[in-house]
Amino acid sequence: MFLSSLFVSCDNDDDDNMIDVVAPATYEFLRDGVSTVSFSGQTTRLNQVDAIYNALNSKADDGSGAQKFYTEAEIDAMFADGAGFMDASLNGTGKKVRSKTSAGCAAGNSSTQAQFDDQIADFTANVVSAWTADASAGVAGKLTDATRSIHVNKYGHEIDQTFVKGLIGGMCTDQIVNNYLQPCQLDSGTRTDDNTNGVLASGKNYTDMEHKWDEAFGYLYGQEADYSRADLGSAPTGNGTTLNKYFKKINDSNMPGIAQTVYDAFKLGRAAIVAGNYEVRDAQANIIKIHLSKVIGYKSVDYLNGYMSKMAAGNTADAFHALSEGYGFIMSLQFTNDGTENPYFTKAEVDTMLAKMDDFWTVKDSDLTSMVSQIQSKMNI
Amino acid sequence: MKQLKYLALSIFSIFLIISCSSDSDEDQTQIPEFDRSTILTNYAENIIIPRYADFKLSLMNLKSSVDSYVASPMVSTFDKMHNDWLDTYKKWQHIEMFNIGKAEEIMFFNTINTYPVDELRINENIVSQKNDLSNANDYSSQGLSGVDYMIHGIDDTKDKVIQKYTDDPKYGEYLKNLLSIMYTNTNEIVQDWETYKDSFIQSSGNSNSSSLNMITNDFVYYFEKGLRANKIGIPAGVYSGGNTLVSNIEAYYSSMNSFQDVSKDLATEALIASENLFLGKSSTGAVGPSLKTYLDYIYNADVNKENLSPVILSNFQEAKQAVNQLDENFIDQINNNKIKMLNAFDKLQVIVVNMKTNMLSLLSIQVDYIDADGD
Repeated sequence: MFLSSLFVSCDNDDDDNMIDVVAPATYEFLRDGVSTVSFSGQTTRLNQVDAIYNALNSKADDGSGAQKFYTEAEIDAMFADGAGFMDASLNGTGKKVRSKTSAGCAAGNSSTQAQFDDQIADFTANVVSAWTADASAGVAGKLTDATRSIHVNKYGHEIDQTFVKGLIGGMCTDQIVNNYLQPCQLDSGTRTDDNTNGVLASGKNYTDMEHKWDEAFGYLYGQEADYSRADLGSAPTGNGTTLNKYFKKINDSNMPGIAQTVYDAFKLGRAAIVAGNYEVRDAQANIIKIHLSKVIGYKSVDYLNGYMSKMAAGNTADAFHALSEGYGFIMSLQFTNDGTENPYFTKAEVDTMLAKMDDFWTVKDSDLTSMVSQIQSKMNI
Repeated sequence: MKQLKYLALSIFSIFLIISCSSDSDEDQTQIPEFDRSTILTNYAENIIIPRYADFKLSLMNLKSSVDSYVASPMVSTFDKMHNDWLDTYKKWQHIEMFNIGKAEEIMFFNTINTYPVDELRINENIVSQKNDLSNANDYSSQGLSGVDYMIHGIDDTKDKVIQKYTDDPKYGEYLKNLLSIMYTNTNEIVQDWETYKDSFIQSSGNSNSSSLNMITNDFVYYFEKGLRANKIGIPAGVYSGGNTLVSNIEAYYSSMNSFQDVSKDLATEALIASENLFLGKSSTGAVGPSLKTYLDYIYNADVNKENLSPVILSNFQEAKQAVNQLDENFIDQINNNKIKMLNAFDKLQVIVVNMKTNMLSLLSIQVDYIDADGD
């Protein structure tokens, strides 16, 4: 329905002598035969997050699986300074995760940034020191059931999960829907005129506006080995630990076709920029905003429900693992965008939900159930 | 008036029931209903119970060779212990899937073969002379995987390992305790099967708590998680975005420190054990009623249904070939050419799909577990 009305509005535009926009078959855009697509900075940051994910589980950040314990300063350096990674290509690139966390030009929030810092501090101070201790209510340590072992803080949070699932909203989605697809990035300064007149960024083969759009694209597809393959839309790989991983899962389960919808919107929007048609661009941006937000909504619901069914099956560690993922996705809800430039849930609403579920040892199913229905009805999922 | 209606309704439904049952009587004269208890009898009497007995015998040998080694740590006692450990580990591959009855109650699978082991915790347990390993957090500090660490992993050569046992009796105490726990648990399960067997066989209905439903679910779950994911998929990086995790292979320390490359042997054994269960084949080679027999029955009763058992059997052949092409040492295989590991994973995945989706659906058995997708 939404799509068809879009096409109608395109047609109308044509009638008004607007420039027709045709999306290419793949996300490949050329100028003088040379690709204008670039998002290596996003790829670097996504790889940095994968490395931090390992460090927050006391595993070597090169992904080897070897045990390695990190200090707060070491993880802070990775998160905030883009330094200290075992993979040297991630160091000193100027690309940093923290400065792009809860930092959208439309709705940045430094107190949310600090929540991520607190998780790192909690992990290194309290979880690492209790690595071989037994966890219980109010006590950090290791928690095992028939299905898995996890290491948790005193509230039962598995911090690699809360942190990275939080960044799926806090960095990936926020940077896409509240930053790079926003006029405050795309149209900032002289970018609109420059794009319309084909003025390239200094020393580059792309206009600033093209590049900003590609950077949004990169936060979703930055770990795809080949972004220009023909089936990128229908078959995302799910590589990495962040948005693409769950984008693929939702495409495979709750919302088949979402991947193609988002991909087509990225492609058509980028083509619209090349054609200088900003109405089509913004319509595509809205499709992306709403659909990527739904990934976060679906996963929040899935993990809260998952927690309850796993507890019912007697698997506490598996349940806490799921709730840790749920906690991160709930954090991420404040970084969604409903297409009217508002998040589906405000920071205040999110913080209220987090407070209700903060202590996993005492959280009430009734509270979780009511969050689930709240999310489902508000996000129409 | 209302009551009359109900009366009429119930009379009508009685007629319905009668006519239904006479229908099924007719059906039964054409094709006798499959007797699920024949599978249960074959599985219990010719596979599960004898395989447990084999395991227990090997474990007793290992226990006595551990005692000898701890009493006098030297190369000869070490080698005997190592060989008995491998023999026991192979026998284990034939029973890991039977997570039912007493085994399920005492989390037998978790206490025998959780890997990777928790080195730090084992080392703490050794120092603190902790004997009670019943906390779930100690699953990864015991069992055959724990023994692997204790005899191949506390140092990186045989001489150095032996030296540690010579210098500090706490190593020997911990190792003996692991054997004592395994033996006690095994014995408990073996004894329980003597009485559990009858109720296992008699529970031949088709509900979630019927024996065939449970054992089939256990089997499919084991195949998906214990075999496909743990032995092949996780170390090959399937669940970690392509990052390989060599330290997650089964019996890691034996391969890592060049005692003996055993992972492929164990995986092969597990695959044969799975195929045998599907076929209803005992250790003597005799074949009896099985999931295959049941699938064949369903196909013969209605040729419009899928003839699945030949498909699954050829899947097993392909999977065995793929595993057979792997290096004896999975660490080397993963580091040098992980594509072959991924290929083996894919072949196992085909079996998972055919058993979990197609077989369970043909047999009208509900899946009783949530997908273990490893995140």
